[in-house]
Amino acid sequence: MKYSDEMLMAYIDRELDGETTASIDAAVMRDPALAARVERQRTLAGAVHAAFEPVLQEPMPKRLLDAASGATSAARPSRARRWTWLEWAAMAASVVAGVVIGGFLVGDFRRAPAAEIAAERGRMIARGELAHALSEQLASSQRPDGRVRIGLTFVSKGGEYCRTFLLEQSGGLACSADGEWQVQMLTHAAAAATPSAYRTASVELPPEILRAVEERIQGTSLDAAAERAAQRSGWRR
Amino acid sequence: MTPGEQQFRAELVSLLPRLRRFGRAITRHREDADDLVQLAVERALLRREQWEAGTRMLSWLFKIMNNAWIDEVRSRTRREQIFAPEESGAHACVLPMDDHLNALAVRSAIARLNDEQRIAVGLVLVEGLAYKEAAEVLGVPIGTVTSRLARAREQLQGLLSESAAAHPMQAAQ
Repeated sequence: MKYSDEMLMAYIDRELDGETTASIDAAVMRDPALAARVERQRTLAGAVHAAFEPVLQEPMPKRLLDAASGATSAARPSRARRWTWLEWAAMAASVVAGVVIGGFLVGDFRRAPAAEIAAERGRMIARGELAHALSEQLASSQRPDGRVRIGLTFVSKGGEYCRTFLLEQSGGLACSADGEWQVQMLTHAAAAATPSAYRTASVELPPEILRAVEERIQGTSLDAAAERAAQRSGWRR
Repeated sequence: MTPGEQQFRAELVSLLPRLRRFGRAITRHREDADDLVQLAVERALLRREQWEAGTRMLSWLFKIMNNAWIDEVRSRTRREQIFAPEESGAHACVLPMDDHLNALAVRSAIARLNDEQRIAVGLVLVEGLAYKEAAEVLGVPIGTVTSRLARAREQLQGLLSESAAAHPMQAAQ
C-alpha cells in the first residue's frame, strides 16, 4: 500500500487510529524506503520541537510576570507611585531580575530611590536624577562623587542602547525605549562593596548586573567616542 | 482580588513559558513575542468570564494570541528581519555547538514560512497540540490544519537541506 506524506506525518504526530498506526508500523518494518521517509519526517518534527525547547528555560521577563500576576494592574491609582509588596514578590519570582531580595532590600528601597524610579504600566521607568544621568552623563567624564554613576554602555540584542548604573546602594541596568529609560534590573550592590568603593574610578557592578549585560549585549560595549555619539543621537538607533 | 481571580492568575503565570515559546515560534523576534504574550495576558484578564472552566486554558490563550497576532501585532513588529538578532550573536549559544547550529537553522527556516504555516507548526510541532485542538484554536477544519502542516513540512525539509548543503556541520540532522 502507498502512504501519502500527509498520512505519514499524521502517523508521526500520533493522529491516526490504532489500526492504521499498526499497519504503518508493520509496513515500516518491511519497507526500508518507507522507513527512511518516516525517519526523515520524524527527524524534522524532533528538530522543530528541540529548536524552541530552550525558551522554556529562559528567565521570565518581569513585565510578563507583572501582567499575569496583577502586580501593577490590581491597583492603578496613579501613573507614578511607590512599589507595592506584590511587585516585589513578582520580582522575587522573576529569575531575570536576579534580585537580591530580602527584608533589607525591601526596607531599604522604601527609603531609597522612589523619586528616581517609577512603576508604570508594569515597567520600571527611570525618573529624576537617574533619568537625567542616563541621558546626559558620559562614563568617560563623570564626576567621581556623583550620586548616579554610569558603568557600561552597550547595544542590546534587541537593538536598544542600554547602560548600567549605580545609584546609592543599588546597581541597575536600563535600556532606552520610546524616549524613556526602562530599568530592566535593579539589585542591591554587592555586600562586599562599601560605599566608598563606588567613588573609585572603576564602577563596580554587582555580578547579577554583569551577567544580565552578558546575556543582552550585542558585540562589545561602546567606547568613549561611540558613547558620546550615542548620547548626541538621543539614544535612538 | 477574588479567590477566583487569584486562581486564574496563578494558572496564567504557570502557562507563561508556554505562551512565550509559542510566541517565539510565530513572531520571529523575541521582543515581539513578549509583546504578544503581554497583550494576550491583558486580554485574557479582561475576558476572564469568557473562559469556560474545565476547558483547556492553554488553547484559549493560544487562540487569543493568534488573533492578536493576525489582527495587529504583526503589522507593528519591530523590523522585518527574517533572522532575529538574538540569534546572530554568539551569546545565545548555550547549547552544544551542533545543536545550536541545528536550532538556529530550524528557527530561521520556520521564520521563512508564511503565517498560516508557521502558526500551524507552532501549535502542533512546537506546542504539541492535537490536530483537533489546533483546528479549534484557529477556527478552521482539521483538514486545513493537516494541509498547512504538510506544506510547511515540505518547505522546511527543502530549506533545511539547502542550509545543510551550505553548512556541512548542520548536515547531521
